[in-house]
Amino acid sequence: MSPTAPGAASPLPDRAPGAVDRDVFLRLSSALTGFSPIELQGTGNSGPFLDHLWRIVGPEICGEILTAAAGALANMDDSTREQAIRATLWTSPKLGPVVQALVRLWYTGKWNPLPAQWQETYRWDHPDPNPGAVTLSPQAYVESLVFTAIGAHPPGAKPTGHGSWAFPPALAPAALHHVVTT
Amino acid sequence: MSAPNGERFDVVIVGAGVAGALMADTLAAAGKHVLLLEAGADRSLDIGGYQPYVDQYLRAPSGVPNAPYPPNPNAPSANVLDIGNPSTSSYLVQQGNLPFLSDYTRELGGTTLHWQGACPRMVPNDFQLHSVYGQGVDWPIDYAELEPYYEKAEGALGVAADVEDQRILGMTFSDGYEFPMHKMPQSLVDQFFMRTIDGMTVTLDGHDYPVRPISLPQARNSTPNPAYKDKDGRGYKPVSYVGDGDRGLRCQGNSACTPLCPVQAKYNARKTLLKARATAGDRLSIVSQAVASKLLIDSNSKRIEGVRYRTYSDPKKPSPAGEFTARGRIYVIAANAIETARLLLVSGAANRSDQVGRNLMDHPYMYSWGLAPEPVYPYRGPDTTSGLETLRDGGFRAKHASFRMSIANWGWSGSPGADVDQFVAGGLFGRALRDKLHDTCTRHVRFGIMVEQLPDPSNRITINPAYVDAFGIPRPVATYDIAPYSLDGARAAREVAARVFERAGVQDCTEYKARPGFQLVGRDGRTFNLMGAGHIVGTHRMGRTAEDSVVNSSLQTWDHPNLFLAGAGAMVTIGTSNPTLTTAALTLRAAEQVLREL
Repeated sequence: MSPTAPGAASPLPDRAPGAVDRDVFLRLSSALTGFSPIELQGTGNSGPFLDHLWRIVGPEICGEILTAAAGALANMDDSTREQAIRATLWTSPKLGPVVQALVRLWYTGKWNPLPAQWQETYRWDHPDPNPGAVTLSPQAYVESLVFTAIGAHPPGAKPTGHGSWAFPPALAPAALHHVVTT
Repeated sequence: MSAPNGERFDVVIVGAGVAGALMADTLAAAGKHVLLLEAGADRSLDIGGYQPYVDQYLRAPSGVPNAPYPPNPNAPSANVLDIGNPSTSSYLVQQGNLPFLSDYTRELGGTTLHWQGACPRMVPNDFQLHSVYGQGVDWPIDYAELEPYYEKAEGALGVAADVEDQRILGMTFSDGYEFPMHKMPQSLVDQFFMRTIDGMTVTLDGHDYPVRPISLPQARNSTPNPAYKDKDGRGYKPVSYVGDGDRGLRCQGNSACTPLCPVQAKYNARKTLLKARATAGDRLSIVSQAVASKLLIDSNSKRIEGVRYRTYSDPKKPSPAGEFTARGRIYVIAANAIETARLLLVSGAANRSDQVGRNLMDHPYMYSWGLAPEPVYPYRGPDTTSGLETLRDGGFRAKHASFRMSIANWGWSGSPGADVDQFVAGGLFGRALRDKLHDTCTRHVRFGIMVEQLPDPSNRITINPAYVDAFGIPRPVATYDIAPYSLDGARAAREVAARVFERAGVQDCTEYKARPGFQLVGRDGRTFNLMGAGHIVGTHRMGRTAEDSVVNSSLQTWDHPNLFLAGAGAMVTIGTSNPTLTTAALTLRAAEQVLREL
């Protein structure tokens, strides 16, 4: 890439995420959230979230994330896989803040802008347009994972039925497993 | 809507909130011609006028009371996000020792759009605080006088409650009385406290008081009570989503009562407006985007001879348009305690006693929060379904405020997003994050503690021509503080909360400190994060004489025989009850006097 003056936005390369990118992104999201790929696919948000990431951090950094993810996810053993994700992604000064923001996006539907220092270092030519946290879409909010994780529902949507609050919730199977075994 | 030119009405009402709507409904049903002026945006009363609020909420979900209601620079209101103190930039100018932290909604339906729906009655001693405890002032009426109107109000709003649960602190009910709907099912959180603090007592000022969760009356659709009969012997039919008879017939647990119920299972005054229009047809005119600017007073008779109002063309931007005068035989101002006081002050009306704007009250409101020893699955159901109600009255009120402690069904904050942020920042992801959230957030318990505040003439709404709105009308100025009587009550409440947590095995996580959006108020080395409760009360108090009050017990001003002031501003004391039900009862009682005058 040729040098560009600070502040002048360089055009985004026009490469869009492909099928392989989307598959790796879904499996990475599963490892980062503790929800199965099927559950995440069911939210309808996997595609829009990758598109958002592509726009905000650009295809190059997305590419680095997905390449590192593909390597880490190749580990079949749970604990080795988690260690690999932590080593190559979570604790990386460049990629860590992005995947952490991604986890928060999945769990709350809100995109939190990347730290200013990070933006200066890695994306000075294309900073995040939003100064504060934004709910990405009504669907991002309604499908927030935090509510599923705790047996609740997003306020204002997916109501649980009259009087349901007088009884324990019907939790997602994985969480129910947790209740039964602990 | 166009302004009704030259038409003379029986009654002109300012404000289409719960008081204005109930007044309009009662008068129109009696055959009177009524004009209802509303400052807020012109919206339809059907789905088309309500669904945009729901859409707005889902785009930017927030528990802030006015989040779903678009800002309207022509009819702005106080904003809890704008709490600088002192502040002259906020619509509600703040110049007190503390900011006044409660807001209201200037829309068709008024603040009942965002209210929680809690409908406890005031307890008998709230009406005779001075006689019994030597504090505050007595009302000109007592509980017994208001009781039949409480029953009417509970029918009009559709209250779900249980009579036997409510027979506490001297509250009585007429023979055979039943609430329209069975009490709202009590949450798992309620059940946890019922089980763990069963039989508990606390000592306040040397006396023992029982502390137990009691179901909260609320204007929210539950299962109709077949034993209920209205005055005509009819049973109760829940009122559905306006415009869709199949929605909202039961609270379905959207867990968003404040700021809005997506299915309108919670009462809002739009329901009464729609009922009134169905009953009255052309006899009721509702004109929105009409900001009352001045009451016109006949200098000889002192009667009100008109309401000047300004219109605007676009709710999204300052857009003053026309100026009109509405005329009727009787005028009812029902614009909420802040806006009503402002209109009176701007007009130089009803203020012979110098009490207009004074005795502004709210419930200083704080939380206590902790972790239950087992999952109680909060963040589900109505905001609150039970409370610790027994400390709303007692001999300690001679020394400090009483308090009401709601058991929150929405965990610590209403949304567990902050926990996500905290755990992610702590390095958790994947299964460990999901498990940690489950382990923690399913045990979140919280009390919302409302503390009584006494009437104080120096807590007040004034106007200052230096601060004006888009029409050049002076904005309200708040001067507010919280007295030691309330802070000592807050201290007692906090100690009770701590003891309840201890008894229930709850790990107390309460910590009052400087944090964004919360003020820190201290006394004797103790500090509390006190908020407003949205209970704006007391700026045009009722009383027995023209010298010390603005209206009589029928809400008729002493100074202007054809001017009535309906709203929580008429309340003499605030007690520990959410004021809407009492406002509704007072309004229905006042409506009888309006009809007599006509």
